[in-house]
Amino acid sequence: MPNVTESEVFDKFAQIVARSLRIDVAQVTPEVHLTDLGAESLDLIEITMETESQFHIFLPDKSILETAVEVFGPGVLEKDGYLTGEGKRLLMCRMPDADAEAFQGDVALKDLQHYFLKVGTWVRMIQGLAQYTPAECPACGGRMAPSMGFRMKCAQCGEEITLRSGEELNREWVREYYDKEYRPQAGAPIPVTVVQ
Amino acid sequence: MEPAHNLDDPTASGSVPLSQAWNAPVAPWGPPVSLVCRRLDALPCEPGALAELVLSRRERDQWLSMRAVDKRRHEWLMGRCAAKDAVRLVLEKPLGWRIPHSDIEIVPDAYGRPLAQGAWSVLLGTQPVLSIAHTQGRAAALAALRPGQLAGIDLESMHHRREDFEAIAFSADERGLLAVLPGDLHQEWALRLWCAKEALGKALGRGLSAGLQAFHITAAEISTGTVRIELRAGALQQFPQLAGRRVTVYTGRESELVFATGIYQQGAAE
Repeated sequence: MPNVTESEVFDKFAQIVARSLRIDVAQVTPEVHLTDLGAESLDLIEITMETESQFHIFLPDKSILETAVEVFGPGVLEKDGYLTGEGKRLLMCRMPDADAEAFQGDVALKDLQHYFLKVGTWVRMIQGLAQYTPAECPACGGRMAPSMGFRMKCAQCGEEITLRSGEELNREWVREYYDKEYRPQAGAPIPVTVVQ
Repeated sequence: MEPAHNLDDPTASGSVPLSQAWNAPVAPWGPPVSLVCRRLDALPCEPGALAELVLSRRERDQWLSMRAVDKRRHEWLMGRCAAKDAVRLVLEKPLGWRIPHSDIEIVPDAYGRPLAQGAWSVLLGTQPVLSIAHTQGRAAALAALRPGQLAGIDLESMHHRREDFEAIAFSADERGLLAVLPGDLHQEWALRLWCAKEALGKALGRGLSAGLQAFHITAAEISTGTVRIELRAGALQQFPQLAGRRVTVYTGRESELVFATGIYQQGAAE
């Protein structure tokens, strides 16, 4: 679904959230946080599963910051529970559409976690991942339909592709950022995870 | 559980607990000399009045400005009541008196872990460790006072789960532990294992931010409720001192409520 709009994603996601939390869909707005709508940890799992199933995507199981910290190592992107300047730069580069005020001043990780639970943040993440789910078969141009697990199958020629996970895409982006944006200016070593 | 206090006279809240003692989550850890667990199954009075009685001025401002559904606002308030009771009781022995609820302010640290603070913490020279959990209109809190002790608690309702949540929550190895259990036990233990991960994440102060698979369950003992967890990947990067170690979490069930507690003594050999 590479051409899905933010508004289409929002409408569909709002339905998922409302159904899962048994609330009126009108309560689901881009600015509201899922926890403020009453979502508990298992509700978030349910919303994740339903979102993956309806959008044919594979959501990451942790935030882009956590993935980046694994690549950069400790103390570079966050220190003592607060984003460093480098951490802010990485997130602003990854999420250029994010609310500017989310990264102003001292940004505690708890506030960032809260931001990641905003409906609007989920919508943008879903829209981003949906770009990697093909609507047409790369081999014959036929229509792709969901198959078993995280696979899509061409209705015309039967070609199957495995969807790329959000975690895999995040990690790939972080490594590219590390190599092209961070390492040249910081003179940092090649991270262990890249060597592996 | 001990019977709940009936808050007929709200002004009495300065001296009496609002929540019930709940010993099941702390009993497996031995004599509860420095551990207190409290639980609240319903709001003891009208929420606005309760907020007025138990919250500090700053907490009241936060509660009043909270843009959230009633369920979330009520559970937040109940969690604060249980937590303040737990802190008052765990501090009663060293201080010699019970601190009024509103003098215990609960604020999150930069990672989101709740901290109890107030003028009393200067007198005491130490701060209790605190963990709060809520689910489906219930709240519980765990407070510990021993230096270097970390504590986490989690709750889930048996009625509140999606059948196939295990596909995301657990790795193939973990699902293998569940696969050998018969239907009713399987359902209960899936929730116990989930609670165990959450409780340890809370005890360590970073929640499950490192990812669900970073808290890997290596063993579960049905007879004792014991779950052993090993940290991996991002969680191990956050807590390198736990490399090669399995942390114990105790789980239990009371009626439709499943719970888990993780107590970790920093510097302990196991």
